[in-house]
Order: sequence, then structure tokens, then C-alpha cells
Amino acid sequence: MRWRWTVACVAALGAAGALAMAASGAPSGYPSRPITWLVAFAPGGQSDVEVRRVQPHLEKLLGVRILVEYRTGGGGAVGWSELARARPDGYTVGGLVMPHMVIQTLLRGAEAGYRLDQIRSIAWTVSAPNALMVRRDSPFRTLRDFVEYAKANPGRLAVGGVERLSPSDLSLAQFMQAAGIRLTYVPIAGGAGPVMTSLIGGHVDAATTAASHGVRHKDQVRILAVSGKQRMKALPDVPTFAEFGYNVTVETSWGVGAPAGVPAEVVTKLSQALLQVMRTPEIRKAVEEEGLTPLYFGPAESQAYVNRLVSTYRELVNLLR
Amino acid sequence: MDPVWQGLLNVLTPHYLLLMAVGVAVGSVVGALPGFTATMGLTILLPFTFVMDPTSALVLMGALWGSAHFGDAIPACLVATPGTPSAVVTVIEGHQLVRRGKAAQALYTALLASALGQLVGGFSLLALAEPLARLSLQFGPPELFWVGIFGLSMMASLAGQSLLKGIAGAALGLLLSTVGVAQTEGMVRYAFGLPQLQGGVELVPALIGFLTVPEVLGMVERRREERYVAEYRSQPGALWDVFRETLTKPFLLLRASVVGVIVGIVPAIGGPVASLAAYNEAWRSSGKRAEFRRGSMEGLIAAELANNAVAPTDMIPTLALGIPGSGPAALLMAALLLQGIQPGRNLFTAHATMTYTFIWSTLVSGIVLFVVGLAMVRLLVQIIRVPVYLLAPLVLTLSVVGSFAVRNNFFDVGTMVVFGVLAYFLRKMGFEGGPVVLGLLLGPIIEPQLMSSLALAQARGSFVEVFLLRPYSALFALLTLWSLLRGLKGWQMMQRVQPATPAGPGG
Repeated sequence: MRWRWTVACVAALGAAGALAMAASGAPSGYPSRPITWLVAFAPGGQSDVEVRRVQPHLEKLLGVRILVEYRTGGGGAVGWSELARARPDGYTVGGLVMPHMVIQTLLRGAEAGYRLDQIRSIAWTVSAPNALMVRRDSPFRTLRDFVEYAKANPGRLAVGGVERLSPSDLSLAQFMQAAGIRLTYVPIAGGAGPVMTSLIGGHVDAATTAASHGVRHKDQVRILAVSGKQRMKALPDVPTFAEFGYNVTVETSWGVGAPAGVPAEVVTKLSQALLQVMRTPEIRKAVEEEGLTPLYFGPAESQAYVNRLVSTYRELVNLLR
Repeated sequence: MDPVWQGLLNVLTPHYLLLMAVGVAVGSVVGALPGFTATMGLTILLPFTFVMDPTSALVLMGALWGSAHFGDAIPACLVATPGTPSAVVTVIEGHQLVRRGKAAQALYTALLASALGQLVGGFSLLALAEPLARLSLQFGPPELFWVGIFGLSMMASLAGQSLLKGIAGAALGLLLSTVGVAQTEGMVRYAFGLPQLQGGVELVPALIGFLTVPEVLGMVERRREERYVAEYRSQPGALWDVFRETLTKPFLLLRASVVGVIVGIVPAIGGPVASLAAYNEAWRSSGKRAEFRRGSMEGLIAAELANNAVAPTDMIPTLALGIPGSGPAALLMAALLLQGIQPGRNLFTAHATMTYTFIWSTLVSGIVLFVVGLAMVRLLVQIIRVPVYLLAPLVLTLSVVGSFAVRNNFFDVGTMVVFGVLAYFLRKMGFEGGPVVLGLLLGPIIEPQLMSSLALAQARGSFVEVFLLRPYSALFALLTLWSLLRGLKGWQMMQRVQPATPAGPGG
């Protein structure tokens, strides 16, 4: 019977050792246990798809499991405030979405529950321009038709988008200001899915949201224009707003972050692994086919990217006040 | 061979039958655990589907999703705890049946109705996907607003002793649903600076609080008179009784099927509303209205059938239009995307065999569910042999764990306790939990759709046009009016037949 005690003692020692290592939070040998990945939006949304896309490859590279947990509500605020308050040991990371994060902190201040400086960007991986789209059978064949009608009938065109104080709302405000027209914004709850239903069902005259949703429904909708400087790879025939002289810049991007104060080694390791996964040809191809643009921003570029967005949107949100 | 028939042949191979059995077993367990919804079961499953071919992934996920809505009926019947939000009606009717000593009947009824619902839903997906998808597109914000208002008129069947108290309860539920960030407008309401309230009142802990806690406290109160929830009797003929009771009511089945299918295709409205609507329909047209809320087989059949018909029909907009109508549907779509398949037209062209295999599997998994479920019922019905002094603490523990599990948050346990105590005292004063739950479920549908509709009305320059002149708006406005009148009349008649009966055993 003595061997049993020996086994038990060894096991207990081992467990204590493991606990001690976990407690000290030593980054050497990171990661040594599963990493929790917080998703601030509902299962099946784009934030979910972005983590699921990399999850199996990342698990192989890092040698630990990635546990996806959903903390939804408040347009992402619930998840991001939890991320901001998490322990900065590299074992809690979270999906980030811009410009949602910055718009919330600018418009809602302390009510948002987190500050941008509480979250350290690790990498930004994909982005999508915003698109203005109409139904396939709509009389508006080009952006010019649309603007002309709006000029003749101010406020008569109903444009659906994802909620108020959101990128949809902002991008439409930018377009209205640039084109000198008045449209009626119809905020729709529940993400981009219901916005597309409302457009395809003919309940609104047009819709504005991330262009990737238009690409997914390209049989049923016509994209009049996309934001940004260049045309999209997935939609080479669709012009940009800029080609008509309208300065519409709002685009959505997805990334990963950790609570501020996370060790630099952790940031380096995670971002290298992530970008390596994103660079594999099949993932790159899938991303582009879905109407998304791959970004390969490591830690330094990521931080600069966020800072740039903060200064841009500080001006832009005034359109919504 | 035609992909439709190829799909059927595929489904009947051992590979897919086995996958379905696994999905059904896991789904029933996930559904039975309060705090774990079908969506959560599917998120846990998702990483495992990466290593499968897309067809197997869909079949497995579909089976899990559907059977979760049978699993949730088990704790609902036995210990008045909704396994998922779709089981709210089952808590009311199923548990009363159990307390009347008909535990086996209640569970067999839930099982048979769930399996039938799965068949109905699967059949609609197979045969009616095109027209139903077109119908689902007719529901814009004004129509969804009216569906929500129509839903509120279901209050009459849930109100209990006093219609006024029922209305007050529904109003409380609606108010509670406004806590947190407003869905369309983005401002924070009634959060009192608590970050946990930003996302609003979490539904599952609130349901457990309003439905389960008062029931358990009632058990504790009566522990001297009733040492068990119900007397356990071995009932060898129970299954046949249930078959006869259920299958001899074609109109009840038909009505519940139609309600389930319609609710399934309407975006943003899911299982809980389907079961409530079918239940209300059954109540309104029943000859035995007095049995409702005291353990009605009809009510239970309607509710369970409708909520199981939702899962497959929810896939209609997803498959035909590429727009997921619910969380679980979004996850199935995500699984496809991650396998490199863009959902849309090509599902019925390039990937037709896969799609039809999946569609047939939703039908066949109804039969698999019935077989697997029979074994589970035999085993689980024994739970009522546990005496109250053990069962009550066990159920409360389960309630705490379930409330915590929703988002690993102790705040939600507090929510559950506060609402539970509140509901207990409210019930003492004659307010039922049902109407509150109805308000909680419908508030998040009515309010954002109203806000969208108002913006739409601004663009159209006419409130009348948006709210009353669109064909489906008008239809649901009229239906609401009709339902209110019928409900009031039915409620008065019930009062006349049953003057001043106490509100059901333990009510």
C-alpha cells in the first residue's frame, strides 16, 4: 500500500509546483495553459468567425487550447470592459473591432466601462470598407442616380444600418455631408444580418454596412460604392466614394488585444503566431473571397493604427452629436 | 442521381445515423441543463467540426440544436426549471401534470410532441423552403413590431386569477427588458453605473427566478403535507395513452405546426415565442380551457411541438437567403464559412447534395430523437422519487449553477435570487410569473422594431402607411385586435365556469 502514498505525494507536489508556476505568472514558457479569448459579439457574427478562422491553426502553433467565450451586449462594451479588467498575464485576450471601440469611448465616456488605454492591441488582421447598397431591382443603378434622387427628395430615402452611434450611422453621416444630401437613417437592431433582410425584403431603400455582407449577398444586392482609397479585390467593378469626389473613410477592422500591462514577450509571441496563420495562402484566399482585406499589423503598427483612428474619429463623431 | 434523393440515401447510412444519435444525445443533455442553451452547445461543438467534412458538421449540429428543445422539457416538467428559455410553457403545464402524478405522461408527451415538431419543421424545410423564404422577407420592422404586440395579447391565457394583475406583470416584464444599452439607440438605461447591467437583464437567470424559485419555495412550504413532488406510480400504459391523446387531435397538431413554422421563419423571433403562441392558440380553441395552467396535455403538446418546429424552419432563411434568423443558425452558417462554403444560392447548386443531406437529417433526427428520448424518459422520471427535503436544495443548487453558467458571472446569480424572492411574494399576492416572462421575452422584440419603424415612417412621411397600410402590418394589427377580443371573451368564460377556484395546485 505504500506505493499509493508515494504516488499521491508526487502528484500533490506536481500540482503544487504547477500552481506555483501559474501564480508567479512567469512568461517563460508562455503559453503553458489554455488561453481564454473573449468575443464581444454574438456567436456566428464576424468577431466569432475571425477567432474560429485562426483557432485550430493557432492551437497547433502555440501548443495550448484556445477557449472562446462570449461576453455580449452594449454594442461590444460588455466584452471590452471585461477584457480591460482581466488579469494582464496573456491568458485572457479578446477580439477587438474598430471603429466600434473608439466611437463608444468618445460618445459615451465613462459609461462605456473601459478606456482605450486599458487595452493593448496585439494584432489587426482583417478589414472591410463600408458599402452603400441597394436591391438588385432598384431603379438606382449608380451612386449618381442615388444622389440625384436624394437631392430632389430630401429625407425621403430610407437607409438601413446597424443601430445608432455605429459605423453604419457614421459612414452615412459622412456621405450625407460630403454629397450635401439628406437621407433618413433607419437604425436596425441585431447586427448586419437583419439589415440585409430589411434591404432584400425591400423595407428600406438602401443599406449601409461592412461591404463583406454585400459580397455575401451579391446575387440579391447591388453595391453602389465602397469607402476607402482603392477598389476592393472581391468587387473590382464597384467604384469608391472617392471616385465621385465624396470623402467617405469609415471602414471596419477586426483585431486582437490583451489587457494593458501584458508582458511584451507575450504580445510578441501572440502577434507573430497570429500573423503567421493569417499569411497562410488558404486563409488569405478565404478572407479575400469573403470581401475582406487582410491586414498584417504587428504590435507596433497596431498601436499606431489605433492612435490614428482615435484622432480621426475624435473629429468625425461630431457628425453624430 | 437527383441531389434530393441522394441526400435521403446519405442520411440513412450508418455514418450519418450515428452522428445524429450523438447529436441528439448531447443536445438532450445540453438542453436539460439549465443555463446551457442550444447556442452554447453548438459553440462548444464548433471546434470539433473543423476536422469533419461540411455535411457531417451540419448534420451533427442540426441534431444537437433540435434535440436541445426536447431536453429542456425534462427539468421543466420534473422540477419546474426551464432547461432553455423555450421551455417556459412546459414549466407551467408540464410541471402541473407531474404534480398530479402523471410524470411519465408529461415526459412522453413532451417527447412525442418534440419529435413531431421536428418532423413538421424538417418537412417544411424540405418541401416549402422557397415560398417560406419569400414569406420571411415580407417581415420588416413594422411587421415585427406588430408580431410583438400580437404576442402581448397572449397574456390572457397566462394571467391566472386576475387579468389586471396579468397586465401589471407583463408591464413589469417589459420594463425590465429596457435595462441596459438600448438596442437601436445606443443609450444606457437603468444600469445604475453597474457594468454588468450594460448588457441588460440576462434572460435565463430571470426565467429561473420568476418560474422556478417560487415553485421550489412552494415545495418547501408544503413539505409536511407532500413529502414528494408527486406520488411515483409505475404506469405501463402511459406511452400508449400519450399516443392516443396526441394523435387523436389533428387540429391541435395542425395549429401548433403552423404557428411553429411561421415563428420559425420570421427573423429575430424564436422558440420561446413559438411555444407561447401555440400554447395560447391551444387555450383559445380548447374545449377544456379549465385544465390550462393546472396540467393540460393540450397545452403541453402545442408548446413542445411548436418550439421543435422552429429549429429546422429557422434554417430556411439561412439556407435560402444566407441570412441567419437566430444564434444557432448563425453558428451553422459560421461552420460553413469556416469550411470555405459561402452560404447562398450555391447551397442548392454546387453543394446541393450536402444541403439535402442536411435537410433530410433534420427530419430523420426527429425519429432518432424519439428513440433516444424513450430511454432517457424511463431513467429520468425516477427523479420524482427523491423526497422534497433533498430535491428542493438540489434544484436551487442547479438554479445557481445554471444562472452562473450563462456567462460565468456571479451577478446573474444575484439577479436570479432577487427575482426569485420577488416572484415568490408576487405569487402570494396573485401575480403569476408567466406574464412577466412574456414581457421580458417580447420587450426586446417590440422596442427596437418600433424605433426602426418610426424612422421608416419619417422617411415615408406617414405613420398610417407604415403601421397600418402595409399588407402584413395590417394583417397583424387585425389579428391583434381579434386576439384581444377573443382572449377577453375566453377569459370571461373561463371565470364563469370556474368561479373563484384557487389558481391551480400550488398556484
